Amino acid sequence: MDLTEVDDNVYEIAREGDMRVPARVFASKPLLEKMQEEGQTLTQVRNVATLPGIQKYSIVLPDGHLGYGFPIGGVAAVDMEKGVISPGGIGFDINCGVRVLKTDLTYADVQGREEELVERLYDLVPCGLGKGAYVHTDREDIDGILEGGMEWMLENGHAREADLEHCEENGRLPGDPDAVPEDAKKRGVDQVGSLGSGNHFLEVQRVSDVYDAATAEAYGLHEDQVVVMVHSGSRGLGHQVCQEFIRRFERTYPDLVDSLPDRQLVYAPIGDDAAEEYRKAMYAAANFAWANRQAMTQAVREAFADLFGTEEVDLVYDVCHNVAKEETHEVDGEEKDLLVHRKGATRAFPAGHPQVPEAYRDVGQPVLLPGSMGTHSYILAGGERSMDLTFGSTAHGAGRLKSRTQAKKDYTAGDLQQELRGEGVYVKARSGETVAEEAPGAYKDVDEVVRVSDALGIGTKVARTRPIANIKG
Amino acid sequence: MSYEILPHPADVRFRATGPTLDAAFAAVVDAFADLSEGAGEDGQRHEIRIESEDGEALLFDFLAKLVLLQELEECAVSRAETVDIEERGEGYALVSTVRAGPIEEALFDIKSPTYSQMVVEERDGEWVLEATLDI
Repeated sequence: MDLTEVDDNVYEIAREGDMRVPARVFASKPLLEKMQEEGQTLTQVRNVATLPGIQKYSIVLPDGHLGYGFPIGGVAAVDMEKGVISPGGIGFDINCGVRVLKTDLTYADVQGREEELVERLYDLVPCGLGKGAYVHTDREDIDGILEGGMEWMLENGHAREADLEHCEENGRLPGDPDAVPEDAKKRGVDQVGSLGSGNHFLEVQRVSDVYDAATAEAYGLHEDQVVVMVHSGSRGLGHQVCQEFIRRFERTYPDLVDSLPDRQLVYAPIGDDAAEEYRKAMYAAANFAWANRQAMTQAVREAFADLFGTEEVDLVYDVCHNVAKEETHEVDGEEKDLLVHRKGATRAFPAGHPQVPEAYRDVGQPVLLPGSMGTHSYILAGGERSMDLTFGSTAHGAGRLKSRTQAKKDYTAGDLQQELRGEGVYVKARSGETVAEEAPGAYKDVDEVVRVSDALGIGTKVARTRPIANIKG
Repeated sequence: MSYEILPHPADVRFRATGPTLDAAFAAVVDAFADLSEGAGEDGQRHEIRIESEDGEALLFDFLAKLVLLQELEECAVSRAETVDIEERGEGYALVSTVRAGPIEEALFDIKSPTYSQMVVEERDGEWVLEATLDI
């Protein structure tokens, strides 16, 4: 594969074969080498460049790694008239995303009570499969949530007005419950306010460093403040939507399946019935994911009110990192309507963009970038160059370095928990295996991912946080 | 028939083998039960019936049924009692009886099958099935 360095932290795979555009890799040399060692990431970004209607470049961001069809950390923007929609470019966990809540507490307020806090959160937010959720929902509620997202949560007493104002798309996309398969809806019952497994977590953190005081102030953040980060998605409901539409696309376009470099890239032309049904179902699943993160927000509010007597737990922002949305971008000097697929990638709109919430419009959209449970997480601001370089996007996290099986061989849960406790991090997980699988050493260096994002000007550093208490499925 | 858990950078992956396609699919259930971390009692019988256009789609659809079974019936898959696969024209029909017991501790949450690096092949008289599951 011909890879050329075209700028600092920017590499290009030239157009060849069936590629309709070149591919661009936004990474430092060490991060690029990790992608090359892994083997498939660059092949996947190259394959994405074959999609009909793709514009400018197929993109992989600094945290890129092996995904399903598309790489994780991938961005593909397609023409709304001539392009296609691909579930692989959105991911199984539709609107998997992150939110950060700020509190009026400082680290000193919670120090010494971490164990109590982690136990309380673990009691309130079910982890893994089969334990219910914080908000009880029946089948009828699911239709309401699929239609209304955060609006349904507000109407039903599970959100504050300000929560909607501080959420990407105000926590609602134009989804249609009727487009969502029945089994997906059944999987959504009693799951609103549940964490799941894998890399999803709920983490109490403290702001350890502020890099951009003015932007941090606009976000309501200051050093030593206690914040809470939630990483979860649309649970089984979103996965069922994705898998059923992949199968529907395969049956609708059988010749396409045979022609694809990777079956998981299957797509439907925008405008076809199958594509439009999927888009409506995907948006509805995104609404469900927002409701899920909102329900966990309510659980955090309950825990903080009970333990610390504070009602000041406010949403800073909520970002999706698995979604495709209609946006306007400049291509070859012209404004074009595009469907921007972000798979393990965060929207990072800069200051002045009309889709940035009013409160943050002068400084840029908050970008929330989790690390691992023993390292840092970051809060960035959408950078000025993001619109030009990456269709208004940046990385979504650290990205894994080791497989779960390798991590279980390399780390022992008990030792790891003790070691983390020594560093002031209290972890409670569904099982010891989960702790080992999610060991800090199993993840790439989040600092380097952020350094590259900042240097490129696509997402710039505002603040860094360190974990205090973490629950995992 | 046997199975092996394979490394994957972010999710979970397995290889199941058997002298026949039926036996290899039965080993898929063993791998799935192991990955879910919930297999205990045999529990109740559940019938799975699917028709799929090719081998990969058959494995995808079968895994999707196992995920749905655990989640909607709130049970922990333990093993396949029977698997019968018939080749039909350009596709396959599968009927299987799967045993699943009560969930004692929350399961590891397997949410979906994927086609990522999927393998459905006959090699030297043995069927080899590999799949990655999204968690």
